[in-house]
Amino acid sequence: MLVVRGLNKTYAERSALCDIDLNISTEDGITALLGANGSGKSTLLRVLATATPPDSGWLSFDGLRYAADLRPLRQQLGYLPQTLELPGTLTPLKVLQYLARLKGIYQHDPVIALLETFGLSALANTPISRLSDGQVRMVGIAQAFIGQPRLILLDECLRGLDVYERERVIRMMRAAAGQAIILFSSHIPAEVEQVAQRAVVLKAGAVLFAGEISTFIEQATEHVYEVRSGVEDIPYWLARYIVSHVQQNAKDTVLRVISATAISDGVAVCPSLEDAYLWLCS
Amino acid sequence: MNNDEVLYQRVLNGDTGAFETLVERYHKPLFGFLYRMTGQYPIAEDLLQETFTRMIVYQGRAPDQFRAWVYTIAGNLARDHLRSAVHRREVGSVDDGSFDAEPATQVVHSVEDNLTANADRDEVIKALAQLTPEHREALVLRFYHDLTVDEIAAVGGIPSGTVKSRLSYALKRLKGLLAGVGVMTI
Amino acid sequence: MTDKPPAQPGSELETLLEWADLKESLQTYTVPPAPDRQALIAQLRPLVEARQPGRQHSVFSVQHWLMVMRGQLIIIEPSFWIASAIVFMIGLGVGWFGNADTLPILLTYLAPLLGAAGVAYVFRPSTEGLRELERISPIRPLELLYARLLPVLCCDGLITLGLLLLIAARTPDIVLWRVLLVWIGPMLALTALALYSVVRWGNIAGVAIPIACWFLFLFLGSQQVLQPNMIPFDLTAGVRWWWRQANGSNGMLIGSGVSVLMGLLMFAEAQRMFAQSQIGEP
Repeated sequence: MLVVRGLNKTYAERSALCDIDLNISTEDGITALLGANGSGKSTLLRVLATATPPDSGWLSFDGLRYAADLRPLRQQLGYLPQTLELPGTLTPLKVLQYLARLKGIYQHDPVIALLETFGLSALANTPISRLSDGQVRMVGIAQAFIGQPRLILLDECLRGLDVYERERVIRMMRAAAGQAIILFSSHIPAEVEQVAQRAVVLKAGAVLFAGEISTFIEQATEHVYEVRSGVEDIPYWLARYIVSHVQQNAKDTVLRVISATAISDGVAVCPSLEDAYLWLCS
Repeated sequence: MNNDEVLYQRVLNGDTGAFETLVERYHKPLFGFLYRMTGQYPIAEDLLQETFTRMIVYQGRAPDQFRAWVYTIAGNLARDHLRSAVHRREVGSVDDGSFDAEPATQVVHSVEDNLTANADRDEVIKALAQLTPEHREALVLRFYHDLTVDEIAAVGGIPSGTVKSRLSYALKRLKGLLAGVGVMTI
Repeated sequence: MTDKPPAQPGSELETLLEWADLKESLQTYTVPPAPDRQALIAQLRPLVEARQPGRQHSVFSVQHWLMVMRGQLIIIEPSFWIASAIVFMIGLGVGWFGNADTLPILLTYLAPLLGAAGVAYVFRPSTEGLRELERISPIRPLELLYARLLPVLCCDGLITLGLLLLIAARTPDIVLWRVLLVWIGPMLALTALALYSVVRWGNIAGVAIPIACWFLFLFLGSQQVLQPNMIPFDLTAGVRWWWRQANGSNGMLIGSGVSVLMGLLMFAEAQRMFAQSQIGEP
């Protein structure tokens, strides 16, 4: 169980995190941290990963207090930073071995197994400088799973991956979800909807919502409409409403409009996570 | 001699056998305490694990009185939880500390609860929930766990006289609440 | 049973317990069966085992240091050891086949470079990317620092010692222990200065500052001691003079001792800054 109470963090006199309260347990499945750029997602993950201390607040994971029990806590952590630049002369095998040894894991097999799981076996001895960005990212994600951590924090883990790499990562996350708390950040609702069961939505450093994704989506029920419009009327809709999607057909354009009040010209439709996100954050 | 203090000293040196013995002794009582404090099975379960974790990772001198000390840990965790914004958000209450407020804990029975719910039990649960965490803690520790006044004082970090006052007040309040719903007559 | 009137606050507890009805009511509040005890024990057993004396990460445990250094050896690439071996072989060659003055002069000018280069190497920019992950590892920042520096400094020290021994073998009137003691002070101070400069200002400063200080020291010292108005200035004459003094001057021994103290102070400050930098503020 990850418990966060009253977490605050300020950077350069700007409040990056404001009075965050969270309870996340392994039974919750995969939890997504959703929010716009600058909403505090990376900062929250860095604090939870013990990469930076909070200004105030109470954090614990499975009874281990962040302030007092750093060493046993870090033994149970896996973290992917938003940006990870690995030394170009090292190979994926060496990077994983090094990070495994930092956790006191000296056996070869767990590292080999991880390389295989993330499709990096063939590249194990290739210098990082010769790998593609996606492959380097996969190495970064793989290291977050070293030692079977019970708290896995992934910052924008799906960014820059191709379809096959994404599938591998999602599969690994789902496999680990039963035994670990997995918290990953994204600013793409569609990505979140595909992967996560629960969401924590951040806005300006504060928690806007924390709970089941289905509950989050329900909040936008009766606020999402499909409107058929001529091309010339699109500016009207864009100026007055939040439009989550525009689809141009041969004869007209279909807009997905989010509105506080009913739109007589539109048809109410079931909201998506993106609709709910736009609705809640507007 | 396998008293709690000796066993705990061995746990601090990594003795897993001593740890298992302590868990066997305190697992059920601590759970009972946390359940009666929070009224929620999942929360009590989490706090129980956290209590034992804190016990293991402790880095100070071994306590002279283990039983009071371990209940102190559990009590602190329970009180922290009851005061947390998360808890308040989940149960929708405004103030957990006032006698006149709405019930501070929403009692949720787990699906594993096979005990037959009877009216008296429900009323007792509701009445206990009307007490502040401090009064509830004193009452629960005295009646369900037979801690002495001095031990309860150590748990709460308060003088023994305050414990007696709290117990007296809690019993009086509880009696009034239960009489009001016909569970008992005055 | 008749209840006694409620006792006044502060009365003996047992008076309160005579409210039998209340006690019976309270006893109806039974609790559900407790969670699985064996699962809890299994989950927490690793934390208990981690407290076993042999398992604890004690900074005074040789085994612990060996394990941490074993991890750090991955960061020190084979090219470093090869380069060190080449430097040593060159030194041996010069010392063996050159005249008696050549190796001492070479060592005097180039030995500080070894120390500074070694320090700069372990903090080379390509390892910056790993810094975030090292920050959140169970290994303390200072343990990482020492575990990474020690192999490099030992290598440099062995090269220097080996070449000093060769010099002593070829120059019978050299008093080896005096030369060694005189040598240790400045080398320690320069290495500490290199570390301080790297942590404070970066790699380039970490190499440039100690070398500049050393050459300035040699130049100014030589000018003071030898004929100040000697033109053209003969650096080799200055170096020869220093070696003669190292062989017999108590003042130089004292000076070396002062350098050791200065070096230790700079190490302490560099450690403090390094540990602070690992806290992780952007």
